[in-house]
This record gives sequence, structure tokens and C-alpha cells, in this order.
Amino acid sequence: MRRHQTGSGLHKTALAALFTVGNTLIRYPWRSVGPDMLGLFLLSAVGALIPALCLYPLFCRLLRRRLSGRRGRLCLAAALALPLGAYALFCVWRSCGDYLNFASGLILPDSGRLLLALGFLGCVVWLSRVSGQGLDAFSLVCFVCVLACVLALFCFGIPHFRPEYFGVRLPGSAAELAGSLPVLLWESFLPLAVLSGYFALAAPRRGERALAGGTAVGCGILLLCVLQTLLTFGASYAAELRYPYSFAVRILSVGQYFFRLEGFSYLLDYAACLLRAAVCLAAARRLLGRFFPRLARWLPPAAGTVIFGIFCLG
Amino acid sequence: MPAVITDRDARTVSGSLEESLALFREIFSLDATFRQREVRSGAGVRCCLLYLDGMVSSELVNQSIVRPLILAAPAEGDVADWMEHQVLYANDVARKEKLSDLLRGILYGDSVLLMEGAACGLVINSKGWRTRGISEPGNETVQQGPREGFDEAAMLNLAQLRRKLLTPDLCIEMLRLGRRTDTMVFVCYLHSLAAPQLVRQVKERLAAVDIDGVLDSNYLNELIRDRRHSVFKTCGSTERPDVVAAKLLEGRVAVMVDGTPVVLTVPYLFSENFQSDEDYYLSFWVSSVGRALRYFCFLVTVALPAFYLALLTFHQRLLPTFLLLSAAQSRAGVPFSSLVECLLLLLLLEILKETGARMPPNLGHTLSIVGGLVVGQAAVEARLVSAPMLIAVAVSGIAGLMIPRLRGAVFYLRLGMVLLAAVLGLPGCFLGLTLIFARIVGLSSFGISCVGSLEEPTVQGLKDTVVRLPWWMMKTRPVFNRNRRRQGGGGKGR
Amino acid sequence: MRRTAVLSLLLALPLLLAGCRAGGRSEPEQIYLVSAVGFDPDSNGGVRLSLEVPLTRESADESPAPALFTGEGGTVEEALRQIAAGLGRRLLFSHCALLVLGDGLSREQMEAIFGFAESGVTLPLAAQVIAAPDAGALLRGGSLSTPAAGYDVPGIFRQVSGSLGLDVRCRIYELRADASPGRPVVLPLFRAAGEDAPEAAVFGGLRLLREGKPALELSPEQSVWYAMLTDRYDGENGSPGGLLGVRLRGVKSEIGAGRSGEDLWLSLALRMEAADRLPAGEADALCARIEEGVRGLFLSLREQAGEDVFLLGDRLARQDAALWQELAPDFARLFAGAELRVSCEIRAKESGNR
Repeated sequence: MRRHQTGSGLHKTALAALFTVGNTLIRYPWRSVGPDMLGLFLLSAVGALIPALCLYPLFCRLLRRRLSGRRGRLCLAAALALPLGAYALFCVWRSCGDYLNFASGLILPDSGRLLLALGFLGCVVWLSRVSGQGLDAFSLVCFVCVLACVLALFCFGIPHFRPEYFGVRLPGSAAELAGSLPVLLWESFLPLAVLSGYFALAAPRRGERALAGGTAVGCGILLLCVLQTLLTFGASYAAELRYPYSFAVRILSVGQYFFRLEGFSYLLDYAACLLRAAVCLAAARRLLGRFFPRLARWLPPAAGTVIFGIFCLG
Repeated sequence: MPAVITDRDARTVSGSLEESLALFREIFSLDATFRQREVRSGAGVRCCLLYLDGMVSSELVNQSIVRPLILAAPAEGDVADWMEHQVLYANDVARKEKLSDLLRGILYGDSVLLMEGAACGLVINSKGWRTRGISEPGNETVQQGPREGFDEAAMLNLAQLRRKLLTPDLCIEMLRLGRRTDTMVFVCYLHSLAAPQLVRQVKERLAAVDIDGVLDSNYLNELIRDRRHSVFKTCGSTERPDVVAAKLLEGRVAVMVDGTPVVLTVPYLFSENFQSDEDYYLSFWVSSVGRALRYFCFLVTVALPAFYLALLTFHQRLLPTFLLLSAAQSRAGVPFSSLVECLLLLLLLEILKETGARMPPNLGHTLSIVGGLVVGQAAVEARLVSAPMLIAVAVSGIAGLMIPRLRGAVFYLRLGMVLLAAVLGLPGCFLGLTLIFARIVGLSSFGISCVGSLEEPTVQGLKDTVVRLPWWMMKTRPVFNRNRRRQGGGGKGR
Repeated sequence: MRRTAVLSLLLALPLLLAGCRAGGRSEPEQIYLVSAVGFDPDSNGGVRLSLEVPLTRESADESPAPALFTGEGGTVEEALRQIAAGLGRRLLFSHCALLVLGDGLSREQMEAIFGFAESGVTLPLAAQVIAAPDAGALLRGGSLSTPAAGYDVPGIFRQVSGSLGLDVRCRIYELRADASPGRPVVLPLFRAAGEDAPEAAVFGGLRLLREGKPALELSPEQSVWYAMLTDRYDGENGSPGGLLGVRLRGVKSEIGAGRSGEDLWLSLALRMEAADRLPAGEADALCARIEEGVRGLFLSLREQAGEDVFLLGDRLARQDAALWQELAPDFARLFAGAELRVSCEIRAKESGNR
């Protein structure tokens, strides 16, 4: 056990990186940000490090230490942890929903949505309940596959890039920034706060390096995907497409025989969404478990059932 | 005759030879191989030699027991003591009072000498049963390296192991398992390398085994393993002494069962499924290629039919156009759906594999003709199956042969993947791979995670997984071992 | 025990459900693979849709034979429904490599066509778009896009554009990414070879489509001049020989305005390479011809179109954003009087001397 903890920096970095990717590629608010998407993405990537650097130490101080006998600390911790746990459950629902919409819209039209939801949620619940070692191993293997896919797809896409589409334009005024930033905060900052909470409770001491490093790596992966989309389609056309990155990968070909490489992007979306949902559910379980240990054990299957019910009704 | 030999039977032999002989005659009344040889020793002591015909060596009995008895000088002091130390020429003589001990000796091929006036018997080593001899194991052949294999006699196997590990650190502890077979089971480990809790756990689990008979190590394998329902192995098995020695040198524990050449080794890591015995006898360049191929073949054998089925039925747009047209053309007229076609071919593949394993060698030509021509050609021409699907299943089957240790698991995994692909296409394949990975990650062997190499994704942690690094880089033992350092100094090869 | 039962049930679920009819599942022989799509306006103001579908044959030795399905409707979807109603199989568009746009399609109809391509999982965005006088007739010609042998028309275009040095981007996503108000859509034009060889298609130059205006057609030679004028010439990839026996090695273009902001000018310096050294008189004559061709096209198109089909405004914006901002409101007038300065130089390949 001790050996696993000391050697787990790489695992946690991989986990943080995949969590950062999450359902961002599916949900990225291309339409909202318009031609400024690269500039705003870079801003949001910088902002993504804020939870790692600022919130993580706070969570460590409040949530890791003993709470009994210190009412003030207990109230503060509860005020922080319980809403964060609730938001984490919301993230689980959103991540699963986004992937299901993506799968049923692009991969499996007209078939198997509920069954896919059942399987996906089952995997999410399992991953959230498995030991840290299992989740770490899963993260590491998935990260290697995802990174290889992204790099390979980026390299194959280079012949299709048009340099004239590259342009970093930051918002010119506070009003412009104010209009776009809340969307990015909602999409990237808050979910990463959940990750910080998870790290505070699950990661070993000095996990901030893995958290910050993993977030940065995840942003790097997203940057590659965003760049590939932008350089292939341009900002205005990319904003019109429903899943721009998948479409950008769809046009790729290698020589005369290898076409339609978007299957690899499906793996990326699957692994990232699965991991984000699982970590959010695990974070919710741990956050709730600090105050209600017996209830926390039942949270993953209960949450999975409720979310599946919502999908059935929807 | 007692149904089982139990150490709780406290009966002993009496000093009266007639009474003792009557007792043994009663026990072996229905055993036609039981022999009694009465001998009046040269010293005038009346003795009787008891043994089972066919289990003893006649020459040993004659030369080492009967002859010295007849030529013996008059006894001095205790008769049994005199016989044991002054008369008999055997290398192993044990003095036993309890009936159960004497019975055990007779049943295992020893001879028991009863003497008038002695309230004990002498168990004399006179085993003469034939063994298969040392030969290369049929399913663990190597191109380069040792070719010895175990056989059914545990003592000979232990001797082979001893020759590999010339160290007093080698511990061999014996248990007897099986109420009716009373099989000898040996737990072997290197005292300074094996974790004490691991050894204790092995012995506890073995001691808890309560079964009628143990005829093979797999009986124990299924009774002592961690996850009893898992399709994956959590106990290793081998018939090679060099492999067992190597495992012991890595801190593992070996369980040797008398009567079978297959020795269990624990703990068993998942990466060992992809190791070949000669990986360490060939150059690391060659071994690494083979090792990487095996990992690749595992993915191919488990996932290829499923991915092909998913692409063919759900995601035609991901297939190259010429392949899709070829598949459509080849499927024209096939009465089965792709799923049924795939399942039928998988079933046929398993039948062919089983038949190939079971049938006599002289029918091999028939099998290859039937398998190749009938299935490969006639079925396709008759439009019962399509060629692309047949190729996919065949490639999957061939890839599966690269990893014989996962033979059983691969069948279930492949089937599960195909069914998931048939229902959910590519997402189903991804879910299947996730579940397989979940299962593998959750495996443990005697409390040790079977994916320990993933815990330590460093050069030393992964040195013997997907590739096999050269020996001068393999400085440490596996991650679960308490004595990690394998090599001294800073050897970096030349 | 209960956990085992639940797990067993979950594992058995795929087995039980595998036999169910999943909506999205279909065998490959139950689909029609559309290899090319043609759009023509019909007489009622709607769209006539032509789908080329390779039909698989019994024998594996024979390559698939193309069949053509046509349908009409007020919209693309209606035409498609009409076709699908008469077929026993599902249509699969994701392998379509060719979109043919016939004459007379309105801008709204073209927007609808591209919307059809982008919605969900229909046409691949990498499909090549070409223009033809009659899309249906072109596709009816025969095996223009036989998948087994490779798509002929896209292959022809690759070959021709390579030899001519045209860098015209005409895939769906390229057209859509480049689209902006006032910007012409440039498509390669193909015609059937004729009655003698109806299954062959011939590259007929470029077609410029503008919003609500008649299309402009350029011959292959004019297409090369046009590519030079719009920075779409890729001489490096042109095969030796190219157009007029010489190869364009480089174009240096400049755009600017006079001191007062008036008098817009475009300068093209063409650097040509000949395989062998040409006599001085012949080289001069060739240069003059090239300069005349380029200048002639510029003047002709400016007169026909009356607007900046050469995208000079975009070029000026890239080169000098401040100047563009100053000239943009009056650019139409400036373009009408813009001067084109063309200079041409031919060098021999071996010696590098003229």
C-alpha cells in the first residue's frame, strides 16, 4: 500500500488530465464564444489552474483534518462540502447525459440509448466504488490511449490545416469578456473544483503537483483538439457544427487506404466522460462520507439509479 | 479396512507378532497385492515383512531387508533398536508405533517390519514403483533452454528443484490432503525472499482444504484461489523445474502435489499470462518482440470479432468503402445474420480446438482436411458463412493460440464482447473492454494485486511486462517482494 | 449470493437482448451505399436528386455495377423520401465522395444542400463538390465514381489540378469554411465527354457561383490565370510541362493603393520555368501571351461580374489591415478602376539563365 501511494503521482496526473478533458470536447461552447474561441480557451486554461492552486489547499485544511469537537470548522466544512457534493452529482448527470447525447446523435443513431445508459452508468458506479488503485490504473491506461489518439490524429490532420485560420484574439473589452467568461467558468472552473475536492480527500499528501500538472496536461490535450478544429474549419464554421472535433477528425485520411479515423475520437470521448463521471461520483461519495459515513456507501448505486431513471423519463 | 487414514486413530501395534499380523490381515483382507513375508532372523527373532506387491522394489527388499535379517547376528538389547541400527541395510528406516503411520508407509510403497516382542514396527524405504521419468513437458516446449519437466513423483520433483536451488534457504514443508488419498502436498519457498504472511496464508488455505481426494494440483488451485468465480487465473501452474525455481527466486511460493507434474506458484500476476518460459533464455530483443506480440494478440483475440461485428452492423461508415462492398458482396445469400454467423464460427473454432487437443495424432491429417476444406472453403462457397467474418474469427483464434495461459478466459471474454457489440456497437465494445479491465484490475492473488506493475509505472516496475529488458537492467524483484534487490553492484553489462 | 445473481443477470442481459431488433443495426447487404449525389433544379422550382449506388453482384470477381436512382421534391428531404419509398433498403450516405451541383440551383437551394450534408450523419464533409451542366446526366454516364476502382471524377480532378497547379478547395467543409457574403464559390466544372464516350467525364474549367447572380465559367487555361490571381496556384506540385509547356515556379503578388488612397493596383510577378532553354524570341512571345491571358481574364471577369471575384479585398486586409479599413467603404469603386500589372520571366531549368 505504501509503495502504491508513493508511486502514484503519475496515476493522479493521468486522472486529473482525463478529468480536465471530460465532456469538454462535447460541450465546448463553440457557438457562444464565436471567433474568439482560441483566445478564450487559453484564458479558461489558465483559469483552470486556479482550483488546483487555490482551492486544493483550502479543501485539504478543511476536509482532511478531524472535525469532531470543533463546531466552527465542522460548519464551514459542511457548508463547503455538501454543496460541492451536490454539484458533483450534477456533474455526473451532465457528463453521462452529454456522452449519451453524443453517442446517440453521432455513433448509434436510432438505437440502444437506454441500454447504453445502463452500461455506462454501471461502469461509472463501479469505477466510483473501486479502490483508489483500480481507478488509478484505469486512468493511467486510458490516459496513454487518449494521448496517443490525440497526438496521432493531430499529426494526421496537419496536411488539412490552413494557417490563415489561426488567430488568437482576446476579448477587446470587459463587456465582451463578461459575456463569455461565465460560460467558461461554468464549463471548466466549477467541475475542476470538484476534482480539487476529490484530490483533497483521496490523493496522498502533496497531491497539488499531480493536480496542477494533470490539469495542465489536460488543457494541453484540449488545446490540441481545439487547434485541430480551428485550423481545419476556422472559427466561424466550427461554431456551426454540432460536434466540431469529431467532424474535424472525420475528414482525416492516411494515404489511400485509411479513412474515417473518427473511431479513435469516440474512444477519447468515452474514456474522458466515463472518468469524469466516475471521479465526480467518487468525490460526492467521499464528501458526503465525511459527514454521513453509512449513507455514503449507498450513494453511488442510488445516484446511478436516479440518473438512469431521469434518462428513462427524458 | 478403514476408509481413510486419520492421525486421530490412536491404535498401536502390540508386542505380539500374531496379533499385529492378524490386524493387518483384516485391514488388507480384500487387497490381493498385500504380502506377508515371515522371516526368522539369524538371531532367532521372529519377524514379518509386510508390503504391497508392485509398490516395492523386489531387489531392495531382498538385498536390504531379507538377506541381512537372515544373516543377522544375535540381538543385543532392544530388538527394534538392534534391527534398525545394526541389521538393516536400507537408507531410510523409521520406527513407528501407531497403526496409522505403519499403514501409510505400506500404502506409499515402503515395507513394514514387525518383530516379535517389539511394540512397534519399522518402516523401511523400499519404494519401487515406476515413474514416467524426466521428459520435456508437451505444452511448455522451448527452443532454447532447459528441457526437464516434472513427473508424477513428488520426491523426484523436489530433487529436480533442489538441483536448481543449491541453498539451505529452500524450505519444503509437507502437508497431507485428501481424506481418502492422503496425498502429500509440499509447500516450497525461499525463506529469505518469501513474505512470511504469504507463506502463512498459503499454509492456512491448504490446511482448510477438506476434500475426499486430491489427484491433481488443480483441485487445490480451485479451492485456495482468491476469486473462485473469476475466469482469470490467480494461481500459476507449470511443469518445469526451472520455471518454479525462477518463481521462488522472485519470492513466490510453490505448491507441489504428489501424483501430478503440475506445480502451482503463487502469487500470480496478470502479466505472467504473457510470459513464455524461454523469454529469459533468448536475447531480450527477441523476447521483447514475442512479449509485445502476445499483448497485442490478447487484444486481437478478444476484440477483433466484436469490433468487426460492430463496424459491419452499426458503423458501416467507419469501414473503408471497398471493404464494405466486399463484405456486402460476400454476405449476399448468407441466411444468417452477422451475429449468428459470428457465434457459429466461434463455436466451430472451439470445437476444432478441442478436437485437435483430444484426438489421436494419427488423425491429425483428417482434422486439417475437415477443418480447412470443409469450413474454410465449402462453407463459404455454399454461402453459409461469409469470408470476411471467417477471416476475422480465424485470425482471432490464431491470435488466441499465442497466449495459451488465457485459453479459458479468452473464450468467455470474446463471447461477451461479441454480444455487447451486437447490442451496442462500438460503445458496447468500449464498455466490454472497460469491464474486462475492471475485472483484471480487481484480481488479487493471495492478497496481492495482479496488476502490480501498473502501481509502479517506472522502468523497474515495467521491465518485465510488455517488453523484457536485458538482465543487467532487471535489478529488482517484483513489486510485492520484500527483498527487492536482485543484483548487486552497478552492473550495466559490457 | 445476491450479488452473484445480480451480476449474472447483468451479464446475461446482452445475450438476451442480442436477438432484439436494434433500430440502428443493419447488415451490409441491407443497405444501399451511395457513392455520388447529384442535385439539379426541377421544373417546379424544387430539387431533382440523383443517387449513384454501386450494386453488388453474385460473383466476387465482378466489380459492383453502378445504378442511378432519381427523385424529385420541393426540398432535398422530400426528394430523398421519394427515392427511399421505392427501395427495399436503407440508404447510406457516409461513403459518398462526390457531390454534383447542376446549373441553375439557387443560393437557397445550395444552402439547403449543404445543410443536408452537415445534419447528423449524412454526407461526409470531405466529399468533393463539382459543378456540371446536368448532374443527373453526368452521373448517368456510367462508372464515374466506381468505388472499386476509386472515384474517377475526384481522381480526374486531382490529376488535372495537379498538372495545372490549381489549388482549388472544393470539399464540403472547405467551401463552408470559406463561405462569406459576397465571396464566390469556386467549383470545378465537369462535362460528359460526349456521345462517343458517355461514361467519361472531362474537366471543363472552373465555375464561379455568386449569390443571386449568373455563374461565371472559366476554361481550363483561364482557370490557371484565375488561380494565379487569387493565390490559389500551387506550381510546385504541377507536373513538368504544365500549361503552355512551362511551369510556374512562383508568383509574387502585391496589392496597394496610391498615395491618396485612390488607384488600387495589383501587381503579379510570375516566375516561369521551362524544361529547356528557350530562344529569346520564343520566350518573349510566351511571356507576352501569359501576360495577355492573365490581364485579359482580369478585365473580362471584372466586366462580367462587376465585383471582386478575385478576393483582392481579403488579400489587402491580410497585407495591410489599416489600409483596408480605410479603403473598405469605397472598395467597389476602387476595384472597378484597379490596375493590374503583370510581369513574366521564363528561366530554363538546367542553367538558371534566361
